[in-house]
Amino acid sequence: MSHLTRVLRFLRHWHARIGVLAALFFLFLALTGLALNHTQALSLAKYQVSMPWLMNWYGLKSQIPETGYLFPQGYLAARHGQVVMDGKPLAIRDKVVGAAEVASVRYVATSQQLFLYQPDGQLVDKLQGDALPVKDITGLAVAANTIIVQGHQQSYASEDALVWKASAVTSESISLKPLPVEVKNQLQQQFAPALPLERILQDIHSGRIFGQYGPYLMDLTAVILMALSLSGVWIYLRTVRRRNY
Amino acid sequence: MTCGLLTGPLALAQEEVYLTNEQFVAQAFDGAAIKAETLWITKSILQQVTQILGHPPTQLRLRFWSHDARSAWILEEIGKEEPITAGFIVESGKLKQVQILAYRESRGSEVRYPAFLKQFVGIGLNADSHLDHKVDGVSGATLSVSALDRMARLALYFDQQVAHPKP
Repeated sequence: MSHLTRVLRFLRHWHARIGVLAALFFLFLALTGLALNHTQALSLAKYQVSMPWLMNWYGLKSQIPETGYLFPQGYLAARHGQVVMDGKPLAIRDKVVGAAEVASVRYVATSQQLFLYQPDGQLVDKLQGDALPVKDITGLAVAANTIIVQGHQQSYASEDALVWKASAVTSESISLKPLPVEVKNQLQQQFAPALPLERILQDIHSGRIFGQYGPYLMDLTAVILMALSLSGVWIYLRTVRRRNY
Repeated sequence: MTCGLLTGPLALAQEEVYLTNEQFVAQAFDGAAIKAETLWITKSILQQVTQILGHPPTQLRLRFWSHDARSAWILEEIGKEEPITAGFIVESGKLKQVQILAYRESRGSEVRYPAFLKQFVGIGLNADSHLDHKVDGVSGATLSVSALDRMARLALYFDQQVAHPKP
């Protein structure tokens, strides 16, 4: 058997075996790469994945709040930048300093913003900056069917959050109350950790999902793919040349 | 056992504020103190607003400022995942200035540059509530450009409403 034949046979042998062994990683690379190439069309960033075993792998844990703000027919609960009202997430990222319902309008305050909601969750208005009567909201209070926004030095009252008047009323700030058990059960889903699908696909594609050495594994996969491509071309050319002779 | 991918709380989107609402309004009216007015999204304009945005409006009332033929609007619309805050100055039914006030996406902030935004100057709204001139996009910022387009149309539409309010 000539030297070349031996080399060809050796290459074919390992080309096939390495190819099969690495096929799974090639599939990971190709499928995730395909998906990430069309991330906008597939809205991958919008899909939230919350499988408990996967979140556990990422080190994310569910944290249900014990207290919240109670409305006549509802509640507001918040934890770590997540705010939920009656089971629906609200687009509020900052810490909530007070929430109260007055004349069927729910007021939710952070230190820099005041949100107005209808009880069904529809946002009515968002006030910040000069639209607010105080620079830094410390709490909310209710008196005589008006909402009172409290600052460090002065409080202001309004019936519609458009016109504000200095308030001398010394009402106690609305405070957090223990959430009923049935509400906490309802919040299991809302406060379950989740990650965008795009993030998970990126981590699979890069190998990061396999841990600290995962990227090296994917680097090795890429090197193997290059080697297989080159060996495959070489085998093909040699085989064609042999046939022609 | 975890893969240790996340060592702390998930990082929230970075917000870049280029101009506060107050600074924008002051610029819009050359420093004059203009009192804010309120526009309610009533049933009569809800349908058109929904058509322009492609979804119902996120809030039912908004603040605007106006003096003579000029109005100023501060609007928010989601680009890819995060809201973009932009200010629009409308004069005599045409856009006089568009500015990005706050940007929160991880990519696409090229839309804040004057070279892109100046395309909006002089544009008005045609009969089917689209901009009457084409705005060239920015590569890699398609969704942000689309959000700005929607907000520009909305600002022009709102300006028409306050100039010629429906009963």
